[in-house]
Amino acid sequence: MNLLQVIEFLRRNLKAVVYCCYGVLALTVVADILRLLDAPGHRFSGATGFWASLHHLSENVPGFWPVFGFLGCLLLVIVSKAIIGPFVSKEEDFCDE
Amino acid sequence: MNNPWIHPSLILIGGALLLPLIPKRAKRTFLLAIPLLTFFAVLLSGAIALADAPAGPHGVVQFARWSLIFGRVDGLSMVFAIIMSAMCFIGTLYGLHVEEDAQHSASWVYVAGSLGAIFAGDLLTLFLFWEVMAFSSVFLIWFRREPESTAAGFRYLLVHIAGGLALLAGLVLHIKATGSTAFGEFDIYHMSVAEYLILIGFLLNAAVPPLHAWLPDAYPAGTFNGSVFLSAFTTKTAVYALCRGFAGMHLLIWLGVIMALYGVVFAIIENDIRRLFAYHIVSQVGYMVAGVGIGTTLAINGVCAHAFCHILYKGLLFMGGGAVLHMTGETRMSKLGGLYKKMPWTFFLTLIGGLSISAFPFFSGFVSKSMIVSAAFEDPHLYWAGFLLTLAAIGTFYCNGLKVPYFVWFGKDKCEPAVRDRAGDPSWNMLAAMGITAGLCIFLGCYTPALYNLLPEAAQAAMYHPYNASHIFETLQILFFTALVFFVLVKLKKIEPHAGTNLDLDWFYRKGGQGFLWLARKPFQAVDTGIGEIYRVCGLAPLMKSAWLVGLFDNHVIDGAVDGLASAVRGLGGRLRFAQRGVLQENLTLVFAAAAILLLGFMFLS
Repeated sequence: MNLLQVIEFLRRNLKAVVYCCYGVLALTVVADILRLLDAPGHRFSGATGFWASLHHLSENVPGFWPVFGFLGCLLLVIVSKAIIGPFVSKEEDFCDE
Repeated sequence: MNNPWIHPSLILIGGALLLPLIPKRAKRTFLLAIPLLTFFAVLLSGAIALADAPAGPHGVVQFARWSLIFGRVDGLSMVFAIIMSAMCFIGTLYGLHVEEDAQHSASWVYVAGSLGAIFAGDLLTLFLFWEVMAFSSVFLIWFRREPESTAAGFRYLLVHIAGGLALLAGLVLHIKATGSTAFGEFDIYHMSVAEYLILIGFLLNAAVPPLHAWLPDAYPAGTFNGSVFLSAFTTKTAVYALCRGFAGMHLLIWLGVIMALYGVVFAIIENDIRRLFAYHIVSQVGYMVAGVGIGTTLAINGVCAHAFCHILYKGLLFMGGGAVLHMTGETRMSKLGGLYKKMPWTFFLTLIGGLSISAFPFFSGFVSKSMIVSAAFEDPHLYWAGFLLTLAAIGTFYCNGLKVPYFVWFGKDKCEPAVRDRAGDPSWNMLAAMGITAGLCIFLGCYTPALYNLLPEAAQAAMYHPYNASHIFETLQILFFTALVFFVLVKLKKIEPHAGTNLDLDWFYRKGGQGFLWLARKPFQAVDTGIGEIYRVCGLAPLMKSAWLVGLFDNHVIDGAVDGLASAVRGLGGRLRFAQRGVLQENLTLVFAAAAILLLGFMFLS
């Protein structure tokens, strides 16, 4: 199938695509709850295996990484655009002067 | 007794020299054959080294009273050499339709320098190939033939010569102090000036802030295919050298984490896509530098794995950016947008590169970046590094996985009509090179043994399992919520790309050059004017009293002196201006050669 047709198809059904994304978003959070229900014994373990975590914080604080992703991204954009940006941003021909 | 061994760099250098003699019909075959041969020569090197294991290094040449070791083939050098030679093939395929032989020759010599540095077993050989890289790669920038590229190329060369001299001074002092030319682990707990100078040379090539500004300055100025080569070799050869020499040095954790975030922050405010990708080289190499600093088995494996994956996905991103440049002549996001209709395949393949660098599950970054982050989370004292590197990963996805694909191929169409007319998917060879790389990115992400078996500590690497439910879900949580923020900000029109350049530390040497010119012009002029002024004030009063005497003196002495001085200053100024423009390249080479000869002479005599 033509790649362009696939992209256009997805764009025509943008609403559905967006809802699917929300679905996945919710699913990843549900996974946190599942983990707490499924593997309470693995808490504080930092163990390897099916629920082995990047870091034990996420085993103890449900929703840690979603919040980390959300706030981290906001923080990076705000720091870059609002704080660093004004200091370093110049006209395009600045360096030619 | 060692089996005969052919240095892979020899094939590339030989190919580069022969290339102009190859008839036009056979040119493309030759262009593909030489990198393939090199790749197989690298694989063969590994096999020979395995067969000769106890016999020591290959390619040992006696030079004066030193033995130069051209062929130290071990686990660490092999993993870097394999990916470098593979990238050489991909990069050559990508630029296959470029007619100018010199461009291919320059990139091959550049790769030869990189392979030579990787296989070098002693510091002198390392330095030799280190400089081959600097002097050949600059042509990949100059061949763009824009005024900005010429200037950027000079700045690039200037910085690398400074770094090369630091390295040279360091290794001369080191060899004098220890009496050994061997390139191995330095004593990181008792570093002297010599080792710090060597470290500075390595860090400059790895683009560690504050020595990084040459990279985002020069890489976006290269030719569309030259930048694909540039993105792979210099920084990752430096990562190899750091791995070899300074593993476990804690300073590097700090520098690496700062790098990872620095690159991300500057990428977020960047408008030019190739400069954005260049800042993400700084960021990704930051992970590797931090990994070298952590220095555990897992971390060093992670560094090698990440360098391996990084070369592929960064090459893919630069190929995507190069395709946009090549087809439209434009790389600024404020002048692009809505190109998906014209370049759908470029979009799709670049997106794979973007997802790979973002460490999306089942893409290559996922299996390599997580090794370094896990290595940081192994040690409670390094949790901060783990969290900050994860924060940098958010910015990586934001820029490469979201911002570039959205604002180049979707978003508001801000193209000039000429740009829109020219746009289209590139030629078959460019798409093929991107396709192969994209395939490799997915393959490495899905089939981990392919990568992990190549790592220096393969047995340890096999025990690492990136694919478990928590890791996948945690990564997806971070990435999807990053995407959520991105699309909210797009909806609020907060992050529209806008025209403008961002100052980085290259400002200092850009201004430094201008300052030098100012120094040449202004103080000399001031001296000239000042003498004129002294003459006017002090000369007039005595003139009233003894006009004849002073008049005589004035006419014959002071005038002559001032005029002579003025014309001398003018002459000097003119020559300085000339040096600034015409023969700078020659001057640089001369200065560099003189310094190298002096230092080597110093070594021979002492």
